Amino acid sequence: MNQLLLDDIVFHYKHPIHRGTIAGVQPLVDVNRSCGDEIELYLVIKNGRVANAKFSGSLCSIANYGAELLVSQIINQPIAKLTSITSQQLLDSVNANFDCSSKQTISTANSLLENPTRLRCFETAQRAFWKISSQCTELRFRTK
Amino acid sequence: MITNHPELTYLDNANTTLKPRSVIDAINSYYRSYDANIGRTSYGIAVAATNRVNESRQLVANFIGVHSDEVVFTYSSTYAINQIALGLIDWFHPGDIILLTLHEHNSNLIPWLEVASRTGATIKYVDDLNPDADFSRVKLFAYSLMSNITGKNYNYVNIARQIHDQGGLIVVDATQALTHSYVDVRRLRYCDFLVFSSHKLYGPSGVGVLYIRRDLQSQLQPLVYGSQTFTEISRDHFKLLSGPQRFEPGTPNIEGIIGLGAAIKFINQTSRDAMLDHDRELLNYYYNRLDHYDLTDYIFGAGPNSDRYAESQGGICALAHPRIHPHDIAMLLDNQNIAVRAGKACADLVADHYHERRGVIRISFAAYTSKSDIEKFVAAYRQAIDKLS
Repeated sequence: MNQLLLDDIVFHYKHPIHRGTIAGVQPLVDVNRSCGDEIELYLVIKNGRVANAKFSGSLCSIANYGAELLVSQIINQPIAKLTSITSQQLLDSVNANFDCSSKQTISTANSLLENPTRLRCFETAQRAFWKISSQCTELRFRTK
Repeated sequence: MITNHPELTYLDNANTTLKPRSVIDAINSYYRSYDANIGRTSYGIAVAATNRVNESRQLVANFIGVHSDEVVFTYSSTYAINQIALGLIDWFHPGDIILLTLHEHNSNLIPWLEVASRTGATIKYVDDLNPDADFSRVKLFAYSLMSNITGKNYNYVNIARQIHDQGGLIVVDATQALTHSYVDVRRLRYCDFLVFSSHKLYGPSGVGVLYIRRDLQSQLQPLVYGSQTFTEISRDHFKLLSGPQRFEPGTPNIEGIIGLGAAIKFINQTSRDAMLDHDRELLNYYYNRLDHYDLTDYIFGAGPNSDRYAESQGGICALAHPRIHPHDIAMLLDNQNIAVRAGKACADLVADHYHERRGVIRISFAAYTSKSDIEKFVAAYRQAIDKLS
């Protein structure tokens, strides 16, 4: 794995921005039984937009990274546009930063997409998020 | 591999071993010089191929202390265990006990769970039972000689004797043990079936070995039927062969079997004693380095859940950190070209038994492993957990 990407993953693991819980919100949950990752994704939807989002759980660094990128990208976005969000889209923002800083033309972060095992970890938060389509009538979102 | 990747520190031999040049050359030689099917025709290269397969069968037989007509070539240990389990399915009845251990590879667990599900037999685990329990009602006992995750060698001879004396059957999984210890079926005393995989023993993948005690062969139904397995065939009838060929339908993995023969020759020529001494020396060095880097608290498989039936350890070891995910440690090790296994290593019950939901970091040695490899690993492990803490 490219050192830039590795450093970014470890940095987010040690200094997560979006970890936490939101009181009164029932989380979306996913468990990756093959490696033990468990995530709880908390979403607050207001006027069709993601007003707030947090995640908690026992996650490896790559699952944590995927969760950090997802939450960063979905906050303040219309929920209807987000249900088809992909790993490539999440990594595109990372690639933009890497390619700009290191003047590389190769998409550094895409190495995650080429490793099926690590990709599954990376998509832990997305799998939880995708459940919103089937569960949205049952979730208790904080609305005003 | 080592020549082409000098930067690689390969410590995942319990997953698969690297192949010696002689094994690769043997397979190449088959394809280049006598690429023919076996046992069907009598032209020169076909006879050569048939002879090489027969030679491999004899080499395997000598290696595990049995007769060549008790050696069946399968495609893997997993296939071999399935052959035993499903081949005996009519032998089990509701309430029969199948005894397993909590230290099994999933491939020596799932087939028996399936048999129990289909027949109404009951699965029990030796670790849950008192050592003085009555084992005489056990219909079959399947166990691994060596754990693929802790490297512990197991001795169940007293239990096996009780089961065997009452007509029960004993299945031994020697897949990991053969790389790290001597295994002789006669010395095991109570062993009706034994399995191992070529690719864990410096041979190619796609070949497994199944030892079936000669008088049991006719009682085992083949898993797969096909050509080359019968003595008679007509429009509405066939009669199976009595020997190991009844379990080898169609064209086998000829090049793989020849490669396995070459692997056994490699082991014999290198000196089995020297290999096993090397394994023990590496293990001692490993524990010494763990102590040096203050990592002994993370040794997996020690402590109050340790096994009453384990009597020694081969060159397979695991570490488990209470807070850091093994995949994260493996990721950092990978960046230093250190190849290890992270996770449950296909031994889910073992991980659960020791309450390691996320699994472990497992390293495993081979003939080409050096002390330098171990030093690199231990130092890098220390570095990884310091970085991630």
